[in-house]
Amino acid sequence: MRRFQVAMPKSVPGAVAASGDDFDETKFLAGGTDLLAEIKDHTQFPDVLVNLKSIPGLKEIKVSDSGVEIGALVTLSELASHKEIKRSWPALVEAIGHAASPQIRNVGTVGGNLCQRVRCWYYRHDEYPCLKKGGQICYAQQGENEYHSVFGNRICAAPHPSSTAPVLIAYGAQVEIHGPEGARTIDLEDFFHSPEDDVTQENILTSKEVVTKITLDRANTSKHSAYCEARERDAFDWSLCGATVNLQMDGDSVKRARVVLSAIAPTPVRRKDLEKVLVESGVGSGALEKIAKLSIRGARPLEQNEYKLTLVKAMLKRAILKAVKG
Amino acid sequence: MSNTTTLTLRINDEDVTVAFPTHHTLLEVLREECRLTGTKHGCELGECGTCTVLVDGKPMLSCLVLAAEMDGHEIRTVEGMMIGNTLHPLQQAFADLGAAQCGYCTPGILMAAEALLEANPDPTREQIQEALAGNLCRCTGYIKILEAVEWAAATQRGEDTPPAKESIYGSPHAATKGE
Repeated sequence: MRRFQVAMPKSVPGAVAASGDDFDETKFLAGGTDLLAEIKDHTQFPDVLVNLKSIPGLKEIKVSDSGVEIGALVTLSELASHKEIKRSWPALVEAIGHAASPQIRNVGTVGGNLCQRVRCWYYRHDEYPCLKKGGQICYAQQGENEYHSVFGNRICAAPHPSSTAPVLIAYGAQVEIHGPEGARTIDLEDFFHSPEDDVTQENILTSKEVVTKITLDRANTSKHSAYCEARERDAFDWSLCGATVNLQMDGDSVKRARVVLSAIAPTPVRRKDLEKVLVESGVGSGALEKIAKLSIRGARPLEQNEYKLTLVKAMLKRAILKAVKG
Repeated sequence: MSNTTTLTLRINDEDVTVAFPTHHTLLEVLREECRLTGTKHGCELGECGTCTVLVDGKPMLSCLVLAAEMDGHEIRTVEGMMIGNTLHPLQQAFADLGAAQCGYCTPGILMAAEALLEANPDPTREQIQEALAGNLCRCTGYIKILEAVEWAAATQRGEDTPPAKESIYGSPHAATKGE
């Protein structure tokens, strides 16, 4: 692996102070399951890793009457085995259960899961200088694109790989970000940005900004929430398509809905159009067919991934039915 | 910050003071500085599980953690599995059942299985599959591995339930067919 040094700051402001002006200078190190693999794959070249694990307080899960605050360095296994998360945010536990392997979930953090880079094999291969790496071309457009995006893929076709992000968005999560100007909190929905905004990054963070906390509000959760995904292998595989549905129900009618699709576009995609149909038409079989049909409108499948449209419809219907059941 | 780190690592209940390049992974330091070569280099990218060790009792991939971060943590490798001169029940079961062919994935699988049995002495087949989901084996087809873990778990519980004869001698159905 390429040589780097490791900074061990003792506080979040210390970590920000240790960070450099671009990503080739410094990268923040959380679990490292993605970052170290990227350095080995020659897609990242930081001179210094700013280790967040040396900062106390970023590994806590704080439960209160209003919700829960999750430190960015809480590991995926710690989160999925937390009693209150299991009780009140079940779709999150479901999504984590499908992510990677037990070994990786024991190290990978929730903050890192949101900030991980795409899995596109052209991006991960050092011989392909793709758009994400400052090159001129997205090789997936005309190349091997079986696993790529079917929505929003005109510039870069790499889908966002996080399986916690869509669920957290469906639960209305907020993220706390620390930078040189101090801390700010934004909706996780606004954290990711599309290739049109900046193809070289999947989120709004600069090299001097770091995610420190994820907040979930009890008012936005429901027992009628579910996550469904399709994979090629039953275990230890990336999602081909994920659907998260979070419904506030009153009898058979839907008072409020959140629908987020994942692994089919460069960002997790909140579908307000589908949410509207759920609230207006409910969850009967007619409404489900209408939603399924609407869900793939505007899709642009590439040569090898038209099958993902079938998966979008199926995962969506499955997630709705599972959410209704509660 | 420096290019070299010196740390006292706690490995298999022994303190080992080592100096190593700061950017080296735990896997590299275990094998190169500590000469504990039971832990294997596999994909190096978190995809195969053969470098699995236990850190504070939890299975982790030693290829994806930095040795520089291991201050104050308890590391266990396959070399620490034997109890005195006796093989760990998992090692014994894997050997007796032939739950290995080339053997390259075995140390990682043993570590993941040890962590499972520590937390759950009576796991179901499905729980074993989940615990070993991050460990690839390209030879065996996994059946004997799963049976060996079940057998070792039974042995640890003080039960004597050897696997079905078919696992040791092959399927009688297949044998009849071959005649």
